[in-house]
Amino acid sequence: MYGDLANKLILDAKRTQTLDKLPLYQQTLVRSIVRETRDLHKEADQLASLAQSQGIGLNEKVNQCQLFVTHLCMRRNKRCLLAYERLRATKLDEMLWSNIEVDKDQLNNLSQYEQEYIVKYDELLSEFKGSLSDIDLGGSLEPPSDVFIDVRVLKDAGEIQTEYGVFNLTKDSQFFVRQADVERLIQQGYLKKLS
Amino acid sequence: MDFNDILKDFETTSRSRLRSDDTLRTEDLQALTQAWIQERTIPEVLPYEEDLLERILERMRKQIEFIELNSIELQKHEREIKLLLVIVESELDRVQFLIRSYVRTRLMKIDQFSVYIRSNEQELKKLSDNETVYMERHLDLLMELYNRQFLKNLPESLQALDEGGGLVNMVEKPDLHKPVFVKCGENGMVMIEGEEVELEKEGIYVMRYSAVKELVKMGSMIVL
Repeated sequence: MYGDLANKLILDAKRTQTLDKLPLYQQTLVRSIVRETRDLHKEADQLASLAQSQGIGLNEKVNQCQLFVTHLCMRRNKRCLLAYERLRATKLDEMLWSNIEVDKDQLNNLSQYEQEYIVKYDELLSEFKGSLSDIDLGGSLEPPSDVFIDVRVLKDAGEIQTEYGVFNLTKDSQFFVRQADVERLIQQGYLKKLS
Repeated sequence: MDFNDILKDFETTSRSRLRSDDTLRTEDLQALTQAWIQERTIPEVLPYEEDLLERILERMRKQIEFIELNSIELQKHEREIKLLLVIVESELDRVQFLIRSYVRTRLMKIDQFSVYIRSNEQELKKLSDNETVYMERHLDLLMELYNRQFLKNLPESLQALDEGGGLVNMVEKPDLHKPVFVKCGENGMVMIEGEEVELEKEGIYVMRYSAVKELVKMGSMIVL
């Protein structure tokens, strides 16, 4: 029935809310919803002109109802499409803000336009972050608690240098370091904070 | 005037200037903290604290310079300097966090209410120049995304993104009825839905933002 396809899209969007990464873009589903909406629009036009030409006034409750439902379905489809896209765009925004790398797998799950959006939004962000360059606007949104923390290395990352010395990041090694120095690495997933 | 008098005058003015500098610093930090709390609790966007942030950023830069200069001396292994540096850096971290959270919270609200802010003169005034540029460009990017993805393929009558009427308003406005915790600075009275509510000094209340909005703006109430 009308709106079933949109329902499927919304279910996908709901599931995406709980995921870390975006699932594959529902190209076919979106296309069919757009097609359905255009068909509905044609139907609505036909109904309206039919009523006019045959003189069956729009006062007939049945005709009115039909027209109304058609319009409602169209609007609902539009709303679902926008909600789906908006959710995905918001998730991408979050990733870009926290400097999380958008890896190849993730890129493959995005539509072509979403990929272009990422590039342009990243540019916008770099400009904005640059205007307040003393503060890392992409940094942690949790208030700084301890000065020094224990961290464990999740992936090999070579050597990093801090004021307190050079650390060799090999997998599963543990270090006691200043939180401010390693915040970036924790964000990117190389280190894990131990509490 | 006598030379001694001139000296005494000079001493007192410079000392009082130093003292007021100190108090200005603590006051500024308190103001920043309060601005941050407000921005996070209140549902709408508040005016951008341009001057306050400028002053604080200036001091931050000086602190960063200070840290860099003294880090070079670390090689002398003077324990006192190390401890001092750690303390200075921790404070710097905290101030940076406040500013970061302040800016990000504002941007989140701006992103949420972009279409509404854009159409309203008053709201636009609350944004800084940077934020206005960001909002416009982000909206453009999003519109481009929607359009190319599916919007341009929909029938023309459906292509608007700011439809009012209908069942659901497409433009999202900040919900001014959201409740907030407030503390009273002085005795007063508030009108809520035709009823008058008395407010005691130093009392803590939770009520709708719409009711206390004016008082918070004037400063006789603070948000917690």
